[in-house]
Amino acid sequence: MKLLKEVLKNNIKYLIPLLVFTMVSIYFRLENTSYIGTVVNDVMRLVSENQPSEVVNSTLMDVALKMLGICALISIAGLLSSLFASKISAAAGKYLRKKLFSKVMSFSMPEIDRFSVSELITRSTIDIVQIQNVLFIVFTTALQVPFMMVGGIGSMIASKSGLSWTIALASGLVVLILVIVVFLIFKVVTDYQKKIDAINTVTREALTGIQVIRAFNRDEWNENRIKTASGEFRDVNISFTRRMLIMEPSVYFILNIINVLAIYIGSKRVEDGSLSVGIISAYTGYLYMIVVGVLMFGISIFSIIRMFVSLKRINEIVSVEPSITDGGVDIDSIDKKLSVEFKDVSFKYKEDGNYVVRDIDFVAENGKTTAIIGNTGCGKSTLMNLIPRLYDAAEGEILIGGVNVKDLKVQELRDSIGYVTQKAVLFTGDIENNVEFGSKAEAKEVEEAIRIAQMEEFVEENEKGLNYEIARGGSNVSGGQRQRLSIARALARNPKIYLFDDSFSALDYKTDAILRHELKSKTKDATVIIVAQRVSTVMDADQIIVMHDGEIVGKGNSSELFKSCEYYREIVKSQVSENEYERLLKENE
Amino acid sequence: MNKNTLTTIKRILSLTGNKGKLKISVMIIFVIIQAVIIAFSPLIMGNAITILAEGVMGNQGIDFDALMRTIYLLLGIYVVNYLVKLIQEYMMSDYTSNIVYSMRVKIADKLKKLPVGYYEKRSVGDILSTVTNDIDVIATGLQSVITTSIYSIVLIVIILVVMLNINLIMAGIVLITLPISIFSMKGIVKKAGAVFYEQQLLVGELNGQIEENLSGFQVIKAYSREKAVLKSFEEENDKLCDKYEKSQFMTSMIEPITMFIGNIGYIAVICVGALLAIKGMLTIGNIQAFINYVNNFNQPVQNAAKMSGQIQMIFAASKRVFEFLDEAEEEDIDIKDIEVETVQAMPEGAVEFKNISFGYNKEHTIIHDFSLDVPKGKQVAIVGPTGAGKSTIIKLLMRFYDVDQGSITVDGMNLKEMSRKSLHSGIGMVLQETWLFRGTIMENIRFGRLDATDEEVLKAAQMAEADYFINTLPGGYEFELSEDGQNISAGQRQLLTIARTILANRPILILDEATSSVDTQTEHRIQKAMDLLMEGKTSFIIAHRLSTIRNADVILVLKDGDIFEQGTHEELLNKQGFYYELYNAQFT
Repeated sequence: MKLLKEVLKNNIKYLIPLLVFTMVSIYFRLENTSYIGTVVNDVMRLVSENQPSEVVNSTLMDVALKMLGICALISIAGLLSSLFASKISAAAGKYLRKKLFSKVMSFSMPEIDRFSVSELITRSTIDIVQIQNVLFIVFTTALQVPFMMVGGIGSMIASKSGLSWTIALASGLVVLILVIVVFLIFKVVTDYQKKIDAINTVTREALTGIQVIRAFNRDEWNENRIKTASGEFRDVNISFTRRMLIMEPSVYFILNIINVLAIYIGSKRVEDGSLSVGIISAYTGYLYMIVVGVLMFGISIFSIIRMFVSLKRINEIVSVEPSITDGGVDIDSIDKKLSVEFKDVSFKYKEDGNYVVRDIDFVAENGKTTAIIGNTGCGKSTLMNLIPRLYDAAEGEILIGGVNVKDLKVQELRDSIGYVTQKAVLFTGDIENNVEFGSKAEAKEVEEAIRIAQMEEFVEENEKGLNYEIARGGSNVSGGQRQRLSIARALARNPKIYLFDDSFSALDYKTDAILRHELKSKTKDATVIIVAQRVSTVMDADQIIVMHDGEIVGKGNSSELFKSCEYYREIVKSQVSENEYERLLKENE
Repeated sequence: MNKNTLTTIKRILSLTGNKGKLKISVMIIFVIIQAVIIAFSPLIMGNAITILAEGVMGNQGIDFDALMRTIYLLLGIYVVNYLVKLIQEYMMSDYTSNIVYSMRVKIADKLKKLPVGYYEKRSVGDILSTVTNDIDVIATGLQSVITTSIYSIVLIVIILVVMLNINLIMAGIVLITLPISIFSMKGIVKKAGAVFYEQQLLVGELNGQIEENLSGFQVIKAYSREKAVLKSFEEENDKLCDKYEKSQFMTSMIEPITMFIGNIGYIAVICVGALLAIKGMLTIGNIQAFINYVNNFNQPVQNAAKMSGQIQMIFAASKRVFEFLDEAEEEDIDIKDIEVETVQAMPEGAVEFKNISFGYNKEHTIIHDFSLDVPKGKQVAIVGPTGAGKSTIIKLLMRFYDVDQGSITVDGMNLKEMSRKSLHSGIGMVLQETWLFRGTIMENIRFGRLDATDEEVLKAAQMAEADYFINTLPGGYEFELSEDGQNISAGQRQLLTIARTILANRPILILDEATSSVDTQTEHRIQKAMDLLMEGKTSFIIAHRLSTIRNADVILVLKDGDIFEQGTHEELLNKQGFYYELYNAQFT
C-alpha cells in the first residue's frame, strides 16, 4: 500500500491530466448518449411534421456536425488519457524496479540468503510488469467507472424518466455477481499457482537431469511425472475458468433483462405523455455504458488483487533492512600491514540454527600464508565470508590490522581484500573488464594478473585477446578457465589480503602447482589465506588450520601437524599413496 | 491469414482428436446460436420502440398487446442466450484445457525421444522457455481467442445479412466504415507489434542481467561493485520502460481511433436514416435498430483488434512448441521389441571399443581410432587433462551419441543393434553434477530401482554412508528435497546419487568424478562401499584425484582423444611418463 502511494505521489504530474481527460471523455460520452435521445425525438418530429427539405437538411446537418464534434472530443480525450496512463505505468515500473534492485544491491549475504535467485528475478520482472499492466488497465478502464456511474445515474435522474432506479438495481445485481465470483475464485487461486509451479519444477528437472534419467531408464517415469502434474493443472484450471466464466454472461443477462423491464415500465409513462420515446432510446445507451463499466471494473478487480499480491511480494524485499552497517574507521589510518585475526569467533546462519563454526581463534600474519583444510561442510568457506563482512560473526570478533572489521568502512575493507570465491563467477563483458573489475588497475597490471593466473596462453591464442567476450555466466570458457580468471581478478586489484576459497580445485595438478609457485612472489607482502581440500595445496603453507565440523582441531605447519594432529594425518593418508605417506611420516619424525 | 497460420490452427485443433472435433463443432453451433440471438435482438428491441413511437405519433394509443408480445419474446431469447452461453463457455474451458494438456503430454513424450545431444546444444533455459512459458501463453489466451474469433466472425456475417435485409443504403454506409477501421488498425497493430517485440528483447536482456548479478552476488559484494552494477541496470531499466510506454500507448490508440471511425458510421446512419424515414422508407424503430447494429458491428471489429496482439502471441508460441515437437528424434530399435528384450537379458558387462572415432561436429574429431577391450568385471580408470575426451567416451558408451566410425559392443552385441532401453538397463551411473528432484529422500534413492522396498533403500543409503546424515535431517528419509536438492550440501547430494546407483545394482558402472564433492575422509569411507559396489562389475572411473584409482585393473591416460599411456598404476609410475608427472604434481 505504501509503495502504491509513493508511485502515485511521484506521478502526480501525470495523474492530474489523466483524471481531467478521463472526466472530459466521460462527460462527452454521456453528452453523446443523451444527444442521441434528442436526435431520435428530432427525427420523429421531422418525420411527423412533414417539414420542407431545406429545414430537414439543415437540422440534420446541425445534428451531424454536433455529433461529429462530440465524437472527436471523446476520442481525443481518450487518446490523451491513455497517453498519460502509459506514462504513469511506465514510470511506476521504472521506479519500483529501481527501488527493488537498489535495495537488493544494498543487501548483504544474510538478506540474499532469504530469497532464492529465481524468486528475486521473478519479482523484479514478472511481478513488476504485472503491476504496470494492472495500473494501465485500471487507469484506462476502471478509473472511468465511478465517473460513468455518477454521470450516467445523474443524467438519468435529470431526464426525469423515473427509470433511474432500474440502473441502480442493475448495478447492484452486477456487484453482487462480482462478489460471488471473487469469493469462488479466491478458493482456487492459490491452488492454481501451486500447480503451475509444480509443472515448471517437474519440467525443469526433466531437462536438467536428462542424462541421469536416460541412464536409469526412467523416461517413462519422467513422462508420467509431467503428465500427472499437467493433469492436475488441467483440473484446477478448468475449475478456475469455470468460476471465472460465470461473470460475463450473467452480467449481460442482467443488463438485457433490466433493459426489457425498463421498456415495459417506460411504455406506461410514454402512454400518459410524461416520457418521450427518445429518452427510452437514450436509456439503453446509459444502461449499457454503466453496467459494462461495472463489468470492466469487476474484471480489473482480479488484476487488482494480483497487483496487490505482487506489490506485497516486492514490499517483502524492499522492507528488509540490511543487517550489515557501515563502520567509521578509515582503513588507511591503521597499520599498513593488515594481519587477520579471529578471536573466539562463532557463527550461525540463522538465529535459532546450529553453530556452523565455534570458538575460532587464530592469527593470519602479514607476509605469510595460512591454509585451512577440513572435511566438507566444516565451515571453511564460512570463515572466509566473515572477513570481508559478507556475514557478521555472531560472537567474538575479527580484527584486521588490530581493528574490529565492524568498525571499518565496509567499502574500504572490501577494497583491500582480493577474494577468490569457491564458485568462480564471471560477468558479461570481455576478459579485460572481468579482470580489471573496478580495480582501476592499469593495462600492465591486468596483463601481469593474467600471466600469473596462467591465462596468458588462452589470451594469446584467441583472436580477440583481452577483448574476448565472456558470455553470460561465463558459459563460453571452461571451469578451469573461469577459476583462473577469477584468480586474475583478485590479483589485479593488488590487495593487502588474499582469500582463496578452494580456488584451485578445477585445475589439474600441474597447472595448480605452477600457478601457486607464481603466486608466491606476487603475494609475498600480503596476508594470504587459502582454503583447500587437497593436501598438496596446503602442505607448504606457513600455518595450517585443520578444521573438523566447525572447530579447529589442529594448528601449525605441516610437519608440526604430522606429529600432533591425528586428523591431519588421516587427511594426508586418504590423499597420497602408501609409499608417499610412509616417506612423509619418516620425513617428519 | 496465410498458409502457416492455417496449418498451425489445424494442428492445434487436431490435438484433441475426433472427440475434440465433435466438441468444437457443437461449440461452433452454440456460438452461432448466440450470435444469431445477439444479431436479432436489436431488431426486436427496435420493434418495441417502433410500437411506442407509432403509438405516440398516431394518437391512437400504444398497442400494449403487441408491445407485451415483443417483451416476452425478448425475455425468452435472453434466457436462451444466457443458458447457451454458459454451456458453451463450460465446454470451451474443458476443451482448451485439454488442448493445453495434450500439448504438455506431447512434450513429455517428446522429451524422452530427443537425443541427449539436443539437450547439450540448446540451453536448459531456452528449452524450458518453450515448454513452459510458451505453453502458458497458449493456456491463458486460447479460450478467449477461440470464442471471440468465432463469435466475431459469425456476428459480423449475420449482422451484415440482417442489415442488408432491412435497408441496402443504410447497410452500405455501415459497411464502408469496416475497411477503414481494419486498415487503420492494421497499421497500428503492426507498429505496436514491432515495439512490443523490442520490448520483449529488453525484458530478456534485463532478466539476464539480474540473473547474472544475483548469481554473482557474493563477488559483487566482495569487490564493492554495487554502484557499477546499479548504473548499468538503470540504463537498461530506463530503456525498457520507455519502450513499455510506447508500446502501451500504441496499443491503447486502437480503441479511440476505431471508436471514432465507428462513430462516423453512427452519425451517418442517424442522418441518412432520418432522411429515409421522412420519405417513409424506414421506420423509427429501424433507425433505432441500425443504431444498435452499428455498435454491435463495431464491437467485434474492435475486439478483434484488441485481441490481435494476443492472437499473434499465441501463434508465435504455438509455432515454437510445434517446432520443438518436430525436432529430429533419436534413432532406436522399434519400441515394440524393447519390452521383450528387457525381459530377456541384462548385459553381462563385457565391453569392447573397436577403432572408434567421433566428433561432436564433422570438422572437429575428438576421439581418433580408439580401441579397448574390457572383459567382464574389470575396472578401467580414465585420466587425463580437461578436454581429453574422457566424458565423451562415456557418452558414447551410453549411446547418447553414435560413433562416427568403428563400433562399441556389449557382450559382443553392437550398441546400434540394441535398444537404448536394454543397454541402459545394464548400466549404473554417478555423475559429478548431481541431479536430484523435488521429492523425499526415499523417493530420490528409490529412483535407482522403482520396485525396491524401504529396507533395500535403507541398506543402499547405509552402504553409501548417507544414512548418518539422512537421520539428522528433520523427518529422516521422508525429508523433502527442494528443487535441485538445494537444501542439502553438495557432498550430501553426491552421497544420495551414489546410494541410488548402489540400489540400481547394474552390471556396468560409470563413475564420472563421482566423489569430487565429498571430502577425502568421507571418500575413503565410501571407497569401501564403492569397492563392494564395483565387485564383479565392469566399471569405468573418471577421477581427478589419482589416489582413488590406484586399484584399477587398467588406467588409460588420455590426451587429445588418444590413449597416451595405458597400464596399471605401478606400471605407469615405473614408466615415468605423463601419468608419473600428473601423479607427482599432487605432492609438490
